[in-house]
Amino acid sequence: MIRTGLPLVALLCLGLVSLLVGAGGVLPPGALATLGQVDPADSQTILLTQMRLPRTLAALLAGGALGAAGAVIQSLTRNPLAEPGLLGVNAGAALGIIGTLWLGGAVSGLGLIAPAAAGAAVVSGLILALGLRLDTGIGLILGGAALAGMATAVLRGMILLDPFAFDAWRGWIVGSVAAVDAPTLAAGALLVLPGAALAAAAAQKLDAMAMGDEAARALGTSILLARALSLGAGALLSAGAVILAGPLVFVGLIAPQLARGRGEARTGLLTFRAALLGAALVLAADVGGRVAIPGLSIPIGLSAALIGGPLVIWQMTRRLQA
Amino acid sequence: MSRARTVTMALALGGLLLAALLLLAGGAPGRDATGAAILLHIRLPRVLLAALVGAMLGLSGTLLQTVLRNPLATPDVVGFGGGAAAAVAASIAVTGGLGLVLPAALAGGLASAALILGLAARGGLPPQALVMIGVAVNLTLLALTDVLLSLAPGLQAGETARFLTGSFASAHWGAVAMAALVVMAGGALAGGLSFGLARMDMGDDMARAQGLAPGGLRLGAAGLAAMLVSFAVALTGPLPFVALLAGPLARALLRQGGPVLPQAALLGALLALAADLAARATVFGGSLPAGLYTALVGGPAMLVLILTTRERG
Repeated sequence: MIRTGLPLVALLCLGLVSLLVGAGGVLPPGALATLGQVDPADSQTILLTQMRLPRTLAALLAGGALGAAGAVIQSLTRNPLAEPGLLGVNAGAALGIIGTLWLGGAVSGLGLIAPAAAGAAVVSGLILALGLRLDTGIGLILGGAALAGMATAVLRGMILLDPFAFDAWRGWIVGSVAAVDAPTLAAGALLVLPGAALAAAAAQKLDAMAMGDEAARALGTSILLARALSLGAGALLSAGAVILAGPLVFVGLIAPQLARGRGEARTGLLTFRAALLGAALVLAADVGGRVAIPGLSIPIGLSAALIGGPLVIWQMTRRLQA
Repeated sequence: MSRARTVTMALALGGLLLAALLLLAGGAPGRDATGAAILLHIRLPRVLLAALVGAMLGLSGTLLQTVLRNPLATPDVVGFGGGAAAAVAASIAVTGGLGLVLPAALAGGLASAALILGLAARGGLPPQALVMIGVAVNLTLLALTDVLLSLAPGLQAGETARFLTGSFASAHWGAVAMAALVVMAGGALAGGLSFGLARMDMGDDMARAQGLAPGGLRLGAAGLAAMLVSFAVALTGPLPFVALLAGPLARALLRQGGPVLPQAALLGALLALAADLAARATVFGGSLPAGLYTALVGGPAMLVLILTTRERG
């Protein structure tokens, strides 16, 4: 109970802080009453409803999606190191975006959604095809590393040949929710919400697989269906997160590990907790980046890498000692 | 024994053939002073550097694969190369030039190797722990490199991005001399370890029964692998998957297990030369660096390796 309640409370507090505090100054709590009203003459409502509200929602959605995707993929591969980014899904989305920019010149926010989702879907499909022929989780992880390596190589080639694509990539790779607008938010939600539904469906199948593939077959669960549902959920959720906030590393790794703690839980509950924790982590990174140094906004990708990397290594060493 | 000799000769001949092709690629040089200068100061160092750095990577990969008993555990995957690349990216971002590339790559590669080995050192350096921690460290270093690329000013970022895709285009005789020294010293050290390494293949207990210290051997081989890959990154930038492919290809050709050091070094050189030949091709009005081609060929090859590998560390 406390593992679900605590993140929920933290999330509410962080959401309030994210709406009220930022580079544009601190607003009084009473300002929240004007949320949703559009008064072009009042700078306070513009700040609140057009800048901080979309940013907060984007951070929440992206973090929740990454946490849930990580939980589902980790349960599927039975590997605490697994996450969509590690399986090459982020690299696929990046390749889709940069490839479109390279071929089609300047395409604005909304036009990049289809290529990002397509890139993520292609990599997920390849990983699924690979996963069907492997029994072990570590093979899947290394296959993801191979796919990510290839996608990154093609991407590097494009950005070496085209300075404009390089600049676009540089702006995107660091991860930020600072410039999210309503259409991007809507497109992200369109990917994340069906992904969450798939994750819920996958969670039931994954519980049957927790005792091993043999036991799952004995229980009448289709392994193929479970894998397809899980990887589909992972692809939709991580593509949505990539569109909303860029490629954020480690959130999908840490949130499920924190959610799992010492006890075991059903995959559904675990996924929900991981989504809450992921949303809280991304929101905290965004708020922290806004207020840490006055006048300078640190992108969430940087804070996520700086905080998340050592956390992951620490988790790995602790797991190996046990 | 004769099979090993045949394979070695064939690999060496293939390497020489590729080198000759590379010297002639882009038109035969004229018989005047300009032609001689092109041959002596541009094409010859480039071919030699490619072969030597390829050999370094082949040695480094097969050393780590042997001691970790996993064909997929290479310096790239385990984070040794990532440390060198991240440190180089940082040095370019800070100094604005390529002046500190060599010390940065060495310091970064050795520091990340020390960190990974130190974290995994409990209980005689079990292979699984080294792989898992290495992958986590590699992920962190990759994220940091991307952030550095994004935050550095445009010119430095362009320089870094070019460096991070390995290329032999800026080869000169100084680099060739250093590479030759590294290959000789590294080869000698690896040869010294090879007796123990060949016996490690049968498991830690068997190695101990023969009076060897598996933990110490593993530490030495991993340290040497880190050193070799750091020098390779410093001299040409990262060439992904060469270290991964050389060892398993050599074993498949020889039909035997173990470290297969000379053949892996030759195969590494062959792969690097082939990548440099591809890098001479004109693609979309420009030429792409060799590191890109090794990644394009190496990625699918790694997938095949994963699908065919049954033994696990």
